[in-house]
Amino acid sequence: MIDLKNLVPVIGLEIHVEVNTASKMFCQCRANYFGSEPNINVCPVCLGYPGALPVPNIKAIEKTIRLALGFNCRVRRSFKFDRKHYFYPDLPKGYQISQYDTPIGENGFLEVDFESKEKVVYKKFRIRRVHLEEDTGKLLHEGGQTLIDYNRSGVPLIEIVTEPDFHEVEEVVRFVEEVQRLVRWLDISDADMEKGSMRLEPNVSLGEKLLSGEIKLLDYKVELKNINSFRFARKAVEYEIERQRKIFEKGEVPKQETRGYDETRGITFSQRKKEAEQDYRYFPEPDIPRVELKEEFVEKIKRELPVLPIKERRELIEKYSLRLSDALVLTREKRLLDFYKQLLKELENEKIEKLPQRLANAIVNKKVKIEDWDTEKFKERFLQLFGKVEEDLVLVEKVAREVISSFPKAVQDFKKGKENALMFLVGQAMRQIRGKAKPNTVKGKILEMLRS
Amino acid sequence: MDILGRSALSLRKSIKEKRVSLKEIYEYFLERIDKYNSLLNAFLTVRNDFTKPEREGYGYGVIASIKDNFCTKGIRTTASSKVLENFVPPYDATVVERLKKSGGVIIGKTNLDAWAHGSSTETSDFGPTKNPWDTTRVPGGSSGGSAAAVAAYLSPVSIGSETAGSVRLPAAWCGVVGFKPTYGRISRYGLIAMASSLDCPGILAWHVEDVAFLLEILAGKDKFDATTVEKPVEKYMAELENYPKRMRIGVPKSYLKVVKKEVEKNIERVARIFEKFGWKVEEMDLMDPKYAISVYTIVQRAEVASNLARYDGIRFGFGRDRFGFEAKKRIILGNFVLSHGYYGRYYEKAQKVRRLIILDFKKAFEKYDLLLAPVVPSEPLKLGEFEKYPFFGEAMDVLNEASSVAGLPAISLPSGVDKNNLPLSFQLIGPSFSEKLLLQVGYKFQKETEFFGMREKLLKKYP
Amino acid sequence: MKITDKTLDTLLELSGLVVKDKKEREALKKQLSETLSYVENLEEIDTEGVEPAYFSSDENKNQFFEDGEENKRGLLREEALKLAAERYKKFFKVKRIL
Repeated sequence: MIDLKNLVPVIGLEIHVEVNTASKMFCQCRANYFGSEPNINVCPVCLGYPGALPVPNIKAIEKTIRLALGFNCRVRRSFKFDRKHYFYPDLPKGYQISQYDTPIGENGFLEVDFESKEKVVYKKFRIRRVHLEEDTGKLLHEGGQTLIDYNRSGVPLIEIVTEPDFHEVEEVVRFVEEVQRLVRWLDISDADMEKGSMRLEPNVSLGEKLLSGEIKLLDYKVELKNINSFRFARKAVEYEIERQRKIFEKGEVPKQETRGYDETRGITFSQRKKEAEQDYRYFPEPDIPRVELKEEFVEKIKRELPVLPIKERRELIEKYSLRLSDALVLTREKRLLDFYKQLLKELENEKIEKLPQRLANAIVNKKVKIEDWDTEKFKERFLQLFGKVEEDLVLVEKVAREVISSFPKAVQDFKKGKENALMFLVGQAMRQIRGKAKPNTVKGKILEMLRS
Repeated sequence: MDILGRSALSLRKSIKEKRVSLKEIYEYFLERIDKYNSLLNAFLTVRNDFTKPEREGYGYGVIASIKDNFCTKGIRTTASSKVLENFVPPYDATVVERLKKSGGVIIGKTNLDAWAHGSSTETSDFGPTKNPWDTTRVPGGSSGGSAAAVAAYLSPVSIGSETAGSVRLPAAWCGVVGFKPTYGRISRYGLIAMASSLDCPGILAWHVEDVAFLLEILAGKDKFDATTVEKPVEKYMAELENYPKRMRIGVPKSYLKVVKKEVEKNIERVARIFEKFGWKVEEMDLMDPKYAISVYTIVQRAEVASNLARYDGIRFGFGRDRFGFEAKKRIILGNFVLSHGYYGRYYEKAQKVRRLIILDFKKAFEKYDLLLAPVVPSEPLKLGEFEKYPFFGEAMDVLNEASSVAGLPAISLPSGVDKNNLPLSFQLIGPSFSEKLLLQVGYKFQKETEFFGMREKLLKKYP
Repeated sequence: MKITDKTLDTLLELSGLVVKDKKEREALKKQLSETLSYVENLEEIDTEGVEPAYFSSDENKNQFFEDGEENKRGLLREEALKLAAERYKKFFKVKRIL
């Protein structure tokens, strides 16, 4: 008898990301199909015509290795592709070229940082495997027919499988978000869930937490499909945990099955039964010779691997005392982090108190806009807000008066109630004042004059 | 101008010397096809309109027929199956493209066992091809249409395909030269896949020099086929007459054990001829071919089951209900040996024995330059006789399966007729990429024997 | 090895084939059994420590293409749809499956 109090969620994830190469995985058709008219991005290979043969895209392999290294996986130097057989209209050859027993990456982990009560908590989640395969076409069900678009068929796809290390919905959402960040950071995919370039299939079950703290896995798991946003991921997993808990309350055990998420009704529903009974008849792909990479090939990728976002954040937190939430924003994009670091360097001598935090704040809260990634422009505006500016109040008064008399229309607009007009006047004034006063001071003076 | 029986190269020479035009030669063959194809059923599709090739390259003047499992752009390609009865590919197979680019023309698509599954061309969904030597008999298969077309001189050369004997066997039973290159020597892109790790495009002709010529045009690395090799293509034509003065040729004893008496005697006769050339010929040991039958059967069925999974009638062709009995049988067996629980015992085991066969040949070629062996255990069977043999295709190809699973090149050469006026032949198997040597020996044999006048003899029946 | 009806049905499903005719089913079962019985001769060979040869030669390795190469084989939509048994506007079509 299972004590319901001791039931905890046990969740494993299967994540697919479409690789952002120029060409598809096994042919030269474009990999970027988003927004294209249906069936214009095809050739005999990705349509599975008689006699067509696959040749692998080396860049897709390179990017998979990069991701595997980002996950601290053991990377295979020697591997092959395998055929995975099943019939479905979106699978032209009747088999998918994938990897079965020689995945490119294995036994890695991803460390994720969580904000918890003013502290930062670090959790590691294990990655079982990372492998490379090809995507299928897209199906559209309408009326009494199913329509097929093969633009997506053959696009390189990386499959990431984790261990069932997740026990809370928050962990799942944060982890997937971190995977998205990492994949973008390493320039592997744009990983957009709405576009379908990142897909999530959580395996959800409830396990029994024992006295030892160990969690005993029960002999079933439910695979969830058709989740295409973070919001739905959270809802689907939450719903499923509840659904399973209710089954246990009845004294039963949930069925092993695949369930789809219905976003309009907010529920999961049973899809394909007997998923486990699919015999894929894997065997080595005879059309593709073995891959045996030189050590230097992998070493080069390792050398060129950038510092991972979580490590960068750790540095921001520990070295600059930034909040995790700000660090998360700054590490959303490599470009942004580089921009921030560059500015820190350039503003070193300005003697601004708590510079790293102020700068982060300015960027994160958009107090100063980034224009064309221009550090000069940014610095100027930033210094106006936060820098020690020797204000020339006499000049302020003079320029304020000038501006009011030069732009009567703006003055009138302001008096009519248009706030923008004030900002316009301030802008014009700041152009002339050029760093000799803070914007707020100038604004105050102009307002004062307008009101009198 | 006398054309009957001449080599493609000699016709090309006459065209170059402007003694005759390409169009005239083309129409000559069209006439012959028109005259004899209803009897032989060698061609499934004939290109009745002559179109001048886009350029006059190295291959200009060559007219070839090609087995109907090679995709030809704009020309119906059926693999002799009702599933593809209406399939007109929008692209050319690489061998077709290379032939066309060099100035060659294709006159038609030849009949085969449906999906190349078979050794008699009787499983074609469009009727069997008849053996020109005796039209109550089969031409062999699966490239039966190609062999019959060449034998009856409906096209001077033909491009066929071999998975295990599909070029050598029909060549032998139709009394012509059949050539199978090393796996990976010629591109499979556009060849409707049967067994991916075994399929090889091959060449059939009455003259060895035609084979050498065509091989130069077709062979070489293709970036659309990852299984083709980077090895440079040799100058087969220029080297044709430089046969080695000294050679050691082995005759596998185990192969002689499975053939009829007359076939064995024929091998002995050929061995004597080779000895007259100054080469050493002796019997040797090679693994019993019955194991190669099993390896081949398992591996081929598995790859076939997989390769035929794409025929679902959605993007092209018709649905799977149109598969014939032979295809259904092979698909089912293929899925059996790949299925969970049986994979290790059958598929993986077969691939392990395959490695042993490969090593067995490697060892043999450390001692011998070439192997001399029979091609088929018997004379051509009568139509319908195959049903008597359980597992017939494999039984007929017993002498070809081992060299096929090892990916080795071979040439089948005609060597006279038996007491019933049916063709006899033999094959030479060489180590990987020994195409040049095989062609040299074949050419030497041809020069010395003129194949015992077989061509003249047969073509008297097809004036 | 004897093939049962159940095995045959499983294999037919994996093969995407439908065979209801009794005579044909019996013929398939029989031929399948015979073939399997023959190929069991491989058990006579000791393959301890032998690596499977998935390719006839291990020499050919690392065959790739460079990302972004010109696509010389792209098809026009019409070329592809023309070959299909059923189409609907710009799509390939089958009877509804979900």
